[in-house]
Amino acid sequence: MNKLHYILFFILLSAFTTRESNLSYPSSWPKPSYDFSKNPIEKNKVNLGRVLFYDPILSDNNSISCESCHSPYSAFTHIDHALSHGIYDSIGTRNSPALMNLAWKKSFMWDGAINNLDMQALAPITHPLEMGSSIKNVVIKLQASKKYRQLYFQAYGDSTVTGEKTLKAISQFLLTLISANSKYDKVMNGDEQFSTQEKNGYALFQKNCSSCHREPLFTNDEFANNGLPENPTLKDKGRMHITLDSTDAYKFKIPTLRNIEYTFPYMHDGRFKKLSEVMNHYTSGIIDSKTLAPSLKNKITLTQNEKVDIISFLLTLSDKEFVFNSKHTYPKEIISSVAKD
Amino acid sequence: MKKYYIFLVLVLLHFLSVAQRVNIYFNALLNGKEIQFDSIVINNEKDTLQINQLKFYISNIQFLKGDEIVFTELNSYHLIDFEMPATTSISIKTFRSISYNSIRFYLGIDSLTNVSGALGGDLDPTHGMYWTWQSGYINFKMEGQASKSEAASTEFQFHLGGYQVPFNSLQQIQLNATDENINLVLNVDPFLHSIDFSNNHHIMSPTKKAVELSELLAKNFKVRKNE
Repeated sequence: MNKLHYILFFILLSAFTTRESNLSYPSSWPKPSYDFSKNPIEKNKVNLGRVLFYDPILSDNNSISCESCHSPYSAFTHIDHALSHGIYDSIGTRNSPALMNLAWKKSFMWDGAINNLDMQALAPITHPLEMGSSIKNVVIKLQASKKYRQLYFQAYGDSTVTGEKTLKAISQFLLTLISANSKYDKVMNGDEQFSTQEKNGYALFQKNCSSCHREPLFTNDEFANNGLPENPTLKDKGRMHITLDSTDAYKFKIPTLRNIEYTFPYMHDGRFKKLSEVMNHYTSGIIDSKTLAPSLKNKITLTQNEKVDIISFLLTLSDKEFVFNSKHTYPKEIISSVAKD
Repeated sequence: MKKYYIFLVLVLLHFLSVAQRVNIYFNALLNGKEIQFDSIVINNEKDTLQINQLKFYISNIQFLKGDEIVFTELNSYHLIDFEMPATTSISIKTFRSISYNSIRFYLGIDSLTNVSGALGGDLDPTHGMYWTWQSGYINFKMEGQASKSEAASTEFQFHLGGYQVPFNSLQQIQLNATDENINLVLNVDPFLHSIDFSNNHHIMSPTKKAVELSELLAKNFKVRKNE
């Protein structure tokens, strides 16, 4: 009888399994980490997720939305703010990361506290310095809204709001934030060419930076201590807060460098405003310690011109089409098409 | 064609076969009596405490005859919340008559489910049994007040969970049971007596202590014989 159950199960499974994702990305990219079979991308779910992303209803007093700290025009980070700002003018302890190419990430947050994109939104929704609410309260508020009952019906064929549906819809929108159309990408496709300076910068980048900021995503998605002196106020030990393992002290998630032109300030606490400061850190600011990344144990030496060349290469990672994509911005066309509250 | 007949006959047999229901009832005891929520009791003679909330996950329920697994419940995730009486019993339809002499289950949620993203039903994060600052289910939650607690308003909060080594707090429990109605009793006395509330009133992350307390809880599930 068990065998029969399996047969029936597989018949059902084959009928409902859709293509892995409806997202387009370069064929040369690695396979995404996100399991699309559990949450296949569908237009109406992406729409719902997009409306949620821009709605301060997620915060306790309807003041803070995801967009508050993740603006599309700065590649979805909080431009010019070293530490993220939240409800009641509170200030967080870390720099809000840019959001792009999230399907390729295995863990989230600077310390990897979150193990799945679906569960990421729970952290800011709940954190007293961010949105100060709870997924339970959010679900109650959404269920009371005519607009959302209609959007959930369109997305799921059922107007009942649940935590699962809410989180999965937010994931759907986030998964569509793919940045793969920078000058770098066009050069790799053979459609454009680097200038001499960019070319020189690319070679220096590959020699000194790419073991952690690995192409084509410009991160290897690992954690590393990049030799920053500890901020005496924040005393942030990074990954160690999660694993409680002292060998993880001062290790932080290696961020992507795509769209770095738009995502200043830099580092987990936003201590550097300019890319030149970042360059100077890697050549002369590194503090040695037990957990320092092995690739930084040997001093990186760069001339002033070489630093400028690397920066000129990094600017080829800017993707204007991504930053100004109207499918990513405030969803006024979706909101105007559904019921008003 | 013959194959289809066999298939049809199998399907018919499947629905005609004798279904059986096994009911599992959960109770929690404090000082030998069913817990009265929000009422003060004496703990360890010198101090008092009250329990305001008790919730835990029971998952992957199986029935065994000797070493052989005779039935495994599919999608077996149950949030037992003593404030919601409807959740304190589980009714399992086995689709056929089974004979067993033990029941096996987890106290908590397995690691694969912990990394599977947003899930619904009893696993929906709206139940307050999912950590928000760090991914992972809370396997067991007990909150209340203890006179010895030095926390604000003498509260205590034990949120036990963690799915990654070395702090994996998931516990497998196997108990003798033969009846169709199984009364599972959790005696919380050893758990509470093991805690020094004056310096340990909060556990809210995966730690060594969380694993130890989970092991202690697992030892204190018993099957109460039907009268």
